[in-house]
Amino acid sequence: MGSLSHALHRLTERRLARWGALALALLSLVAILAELFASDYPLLCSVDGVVYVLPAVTHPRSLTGRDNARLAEQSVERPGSVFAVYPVVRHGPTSESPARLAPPSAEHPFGTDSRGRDVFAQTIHGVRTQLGFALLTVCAYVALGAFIGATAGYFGGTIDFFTERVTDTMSAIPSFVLILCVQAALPHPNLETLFVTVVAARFAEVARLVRVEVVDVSTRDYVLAARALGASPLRVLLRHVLPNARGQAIVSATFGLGAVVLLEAQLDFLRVGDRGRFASWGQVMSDVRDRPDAYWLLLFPGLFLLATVVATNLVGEGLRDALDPRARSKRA
Amino acid sequence: MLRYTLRRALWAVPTLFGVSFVVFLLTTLFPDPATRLSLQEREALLRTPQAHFALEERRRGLFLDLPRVVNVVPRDVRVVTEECLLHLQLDDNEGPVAANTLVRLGGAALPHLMPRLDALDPEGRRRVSRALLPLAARMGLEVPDTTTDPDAALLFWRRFWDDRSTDFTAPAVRRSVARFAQKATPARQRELEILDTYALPELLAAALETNDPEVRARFTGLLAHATQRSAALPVDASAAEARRALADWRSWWFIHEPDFVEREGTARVAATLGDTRYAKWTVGAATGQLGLSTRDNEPVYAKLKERAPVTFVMTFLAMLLAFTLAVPIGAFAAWRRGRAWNRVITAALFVGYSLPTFWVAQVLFSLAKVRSYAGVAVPLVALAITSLATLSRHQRSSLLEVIHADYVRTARAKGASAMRLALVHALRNAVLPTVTLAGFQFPALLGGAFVIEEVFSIRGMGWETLRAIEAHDTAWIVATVLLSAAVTTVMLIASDVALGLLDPRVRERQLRGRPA
Repeated sequence: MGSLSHALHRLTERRLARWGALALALLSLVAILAELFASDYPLLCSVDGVVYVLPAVTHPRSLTGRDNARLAEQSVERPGSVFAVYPVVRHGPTSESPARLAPPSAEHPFGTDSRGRDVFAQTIHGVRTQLGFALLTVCAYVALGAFIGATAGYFGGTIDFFTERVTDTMSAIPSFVLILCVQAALPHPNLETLFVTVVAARFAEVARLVRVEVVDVSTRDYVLAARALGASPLRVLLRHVLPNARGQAIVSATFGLGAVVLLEAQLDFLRVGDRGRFASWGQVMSDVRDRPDAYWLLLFPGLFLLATVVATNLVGEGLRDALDPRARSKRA
Repeated sequence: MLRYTLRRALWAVPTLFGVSFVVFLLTTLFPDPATRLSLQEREALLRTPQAHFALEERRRGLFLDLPRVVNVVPRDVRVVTEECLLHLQLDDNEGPVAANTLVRLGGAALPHLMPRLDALDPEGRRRVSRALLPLAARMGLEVPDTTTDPDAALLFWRRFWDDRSTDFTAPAVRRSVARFAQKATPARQRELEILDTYALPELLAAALETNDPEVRARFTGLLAHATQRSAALPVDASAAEARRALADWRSWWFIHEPDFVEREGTARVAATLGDTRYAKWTVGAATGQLGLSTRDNEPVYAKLKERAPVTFVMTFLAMLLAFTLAVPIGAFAAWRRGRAWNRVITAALFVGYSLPTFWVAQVLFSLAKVRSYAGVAVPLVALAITSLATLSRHQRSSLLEVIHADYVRTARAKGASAMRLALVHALRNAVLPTVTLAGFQFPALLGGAFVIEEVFSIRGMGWETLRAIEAHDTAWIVATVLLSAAVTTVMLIASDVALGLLDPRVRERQLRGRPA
C-alpha cells in the first residue's frame, strides 16, 4: 500500500476517474453557487437608486415581496427605475407558482411540481442539500468507524471481540430496512435524525475494513521499530499505523458518498423523512407517483442523481485501483 | 464442512442477540403515550379510571410500564394490591384509579387484601370494601345496600371471606377447573365465577390445552367473564378464529400475568430479569408473540406469514436472474476485451451499477403502466438490474484475472481447446468470487424490493411497512427488521458455506480457523 499522495498522483492518471472528479467538482460548484442558477431575487439590482448586491442570498428586508417577477413588471411600468441582473431561472426552490405540474417551458426549463414549485430550482438547490448532507454524514461515520476499527485492530482483546460482534450485528441488518424503520418509528423524522441513523447503520462497515488493515499494518517492521524506540501506543497508532491503513477508509468513504445521496433520495421518494424544509431530488420525484405521465419530474432530478452516483463511483473505483497495485496490473 | 457450518451458526447466536438489542433500541424510540400528556390532562385522567386504564393498557402493550433491563422491584398481585390499599386508605387523588384496579385484579387480589383489611383504619376499611362491590356483582353475588348501613359492604366481604377463603387455594382451584372441564353444570360454573381472576392461570391452561370446541367455549367464556374483555369463543368458531382468539389470550396473559399471580422465591428472582422491557420483548418476539398490528388489529405474525413470502420470493428470483445473466455477460465482456464493443458494455455496466433502483422502477412503471401481478417481470427486472451490473462487472474482472493465471497458460500450452479452456479452467475459478457476493447482494436486494413493492403496489413486506409508517404501526416495524435481519444472517452463512463447498482453498481456510 503506497502513500496517499502517491495514490492520488496515480489517480489523476486515470482518465475515467478524472472525469468523475471533474463531474463532482462541477456539482460542488453548482451546490455552492445554486443562487446564481435559480432564485426568487436578482443577483444584483438597483431599485429606485438603492443598489443591492446578491439579494438572493442576503434577503434584505426592504426587498421583501419584490421578487424577480415584480421587479420585471416595475421596470416595464417605470423604465429606468429598476436595473437588475437576474439568475438563469427566476424562481427559487420554495416559491409556488400557479402553474402546477407544468411541463418544461422557457419560464420553467424543467417544469413544475404538484405545488407549482420550479423543478429546475429544486434540482439545483437539491445538489446542495444532497451533497452537503452526504458529505457530513460520510465524514462522521468514516471518522467514527475508523476510530473504532483502529482501536479494535491495534489493541485487540476484549475491545476487538466486542467490535467484531457489533460489526457482525450491523452487517446482518439490511441497512436500508433499518434506516427506513428508524425514520418511521420517530415521531418527527428529519435530516438530523437521518444523519444519526445513517451514521449508526454504516459505521460498522468502515470499522470492519479499517480493522483488517490495521491488523495487517501492526505487524510490519516499522511499527515494531517505532515501538522499540519507546513510542507510546497512541503515537504509534496515530503516526504509523493509521496513515498506512487509511486507504480502505478513503475508498469506502468515496463510495459511501454516492450511497448516502442515493439513500436520502430514496427515502424522500418514499415520502419518509424531512418534507419541505430543504429542496431535494427525492421529493420532486415522489410527485411522479401520483402523476406517472409527468416525465419531467422524474427525468431531470434523476439524471442529476445518476450523474452524482456515477461520478462518485468512478472516483471510488479509480482510488481503489490506485491504492491496490494488484488491480493495476489486472487492468493494464 | 458440517463443523464449519455449525460453528458459523453458533456465532450467529451473539449476532442475533445483538440484532435483538438494536431492534429493542429501535422500540425505545417509539413515543410513550403517557409522556405527551400535560399536567392537567394527567390530573383529569386520574379522575376517570376508565380512560386511565385504557392508556395504561396501551403502554403495557409496548412494555413501557417495565424498566428497561433490570427490574429491582418486580410487581406482582401482592405489591399492586398493597399499593391500591395504601391509596384508598389515604384517599388521595389516585384513589379512583386504585379502586378500579382492585376490581380489575378481582379474585386474585382477595387472598392478599382480606388479611390486610384489619390493619386499616375504619374509614379506610369501609372505602376498600365499598370499592370492591363491583367485584361482588361480577361474581354474581347479591350486592348489599350501602345507603342505609355504611358498614354493610365491609360485613359482606368479611362474611364472604369466612365462607370462601378455603376455596382460594391452589388445590381447590385445580379441582374446580378439572370438574368443570369434565362436565359443565351451573353450580360448577358459579364456583369458578366466584373464584374470578384467582383461577385465571388454570382456566387459561385448560382453554389452551383442550381440543374440544365445546370445552374451549366454556373456558374462554369464563376467562372473558373474569377479565371483562372480549367474549367467549363460540362453539362453531372456525379453526382460524379459534387460533386467533387463543393467540390473543396468550399474548394478553404474557403482558398481564404479574397482575394475577404472586411471585415468591425463585420466581421473584427470575422476575428481576424477566419482568423487564427487554426480556419481555425478546421472549415475545422469539415465541412469535409480535402483538397486534395497530393499523388493522390483525396479528402481526399472521400478516408477516402472508406478506414476507412475496418479498423474499421476489428477492431470490431477482438474485437468480442477476446471477444467471451475469456469468455470460461478464464472460462476453471479458472475451471482447479491447474492442469497440467492450467500451459500450463497460459503460453500460457502469451506469447500470450506479442506477438508483427506485428510479429505474418508477421509469419502468411510468413506461409500462403495470399495475398487477400479471406484469411481474417488470418489477423483477427493475430489482435485478443493479445487481446484474455489479455481478457482471465482478465476473468480468475476475475472468480477466484468471485468464492470465499460470494454470490457464499451462493448459493452453498443452493444447487445450478454447472451449475447454474457457469452461473448465477459467470460468469455474472466476465464478467463485462472484458467489461470495451473493451474501452481500442479498441485503441490498431486500432493500430494493421494499421500494419496488411500493412503486408497483405489490402487497409484500415493503408495501406493508410503508403503510405501517403512516399509521405508526410499531409492532409491524419491529417484526420487519427482525425478520430481515434473521434471513440476512442465514444468507450470509449460506453463501460462505457454499463458497467453501465450491472452492477447496476456501474450505481449507474455513476449517482451519475462524474467518478473518
